[in-house]
Amino acid sequence: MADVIIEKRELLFAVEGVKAPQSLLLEADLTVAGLLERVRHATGRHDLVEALIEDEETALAHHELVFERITIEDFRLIHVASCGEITVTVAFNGVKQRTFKPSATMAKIIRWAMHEFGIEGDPSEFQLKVGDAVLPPGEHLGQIAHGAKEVRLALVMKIRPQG
Amino acid sequence: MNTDETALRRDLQGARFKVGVLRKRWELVRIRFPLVWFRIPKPRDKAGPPHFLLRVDATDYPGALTAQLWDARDNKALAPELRPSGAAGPLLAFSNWSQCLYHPIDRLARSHWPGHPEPWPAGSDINDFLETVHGFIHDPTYLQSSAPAASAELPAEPLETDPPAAA
Repeated sequence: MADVIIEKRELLFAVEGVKAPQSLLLEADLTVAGLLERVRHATGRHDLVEALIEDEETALAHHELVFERITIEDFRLIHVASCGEITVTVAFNGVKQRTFKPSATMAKIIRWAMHEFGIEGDPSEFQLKVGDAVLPPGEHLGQIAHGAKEVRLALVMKIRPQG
Repeated sequence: MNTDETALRRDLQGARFKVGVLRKRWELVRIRFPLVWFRIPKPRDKAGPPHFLLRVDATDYPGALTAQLWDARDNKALAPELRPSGAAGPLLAFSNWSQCLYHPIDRLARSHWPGHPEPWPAGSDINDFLETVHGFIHDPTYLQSSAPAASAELPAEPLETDPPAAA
């Protein structure tokens, strides 16, 4: 009987509570349920129960094939998360608050905050900071919240050291 | 292989670097340690070449880095008049000040900002540097660059596990 060779592919993904993106070599036909099981096994984190595409509001269905949801042309990182949203408080000239999925990018939160504070202009003129650290626009909320379900951020103008 | 080269190659094979490649924020072109070349795309919908070539000196990595925009055609720094420009000439980080980026993240320039918060805190790596330079090029004040596409067309080489044998 011929051996069945199952192709493996590298999946890059974020995990709620972990800053750095992660990588696993996975079967090309793995389902979302299978991914969650593999990530729970690799991390020992049994609170990880859903997978979301970056900036989307709805978790992937467990029967979906993971690699069918990854597109190279418009790459968006998958986020493996615990249940629930993260409450974000943004300070600018006052404070605004709402909840986001852990897969929300800083770019999405900047756009929301600009709208809430009535700021017009190019979102790339603004940055979010936590403490002194500037957060890259593609970073996910779940990557910077240290596993907490609430986080305080500051919206600041892009810092340009002058000559 | 020296520890600085080993550390750099490890980070270039890491998930964060690969995410940056998939997001089309940067791509590795060549390593001739301690020199490394990357391509960074120009802002969409702005005038200029498809990419800029960045030459990074990674001596003592993961210590602070120094870099310049590079011209592959004659293997030297990209001429000031070809660099990413705004209304008043080259963007500040690419001004013709010295053989480095004019920004505190560059180890050769940081002494110009003595009161600036530590621009290269412990734990910083090549991804932080590339994010910063990507931000310079994608600054909203970028208007254009007259650099030709060929200025960034350095033939790519694979990321070797081992460095090439000495000539």
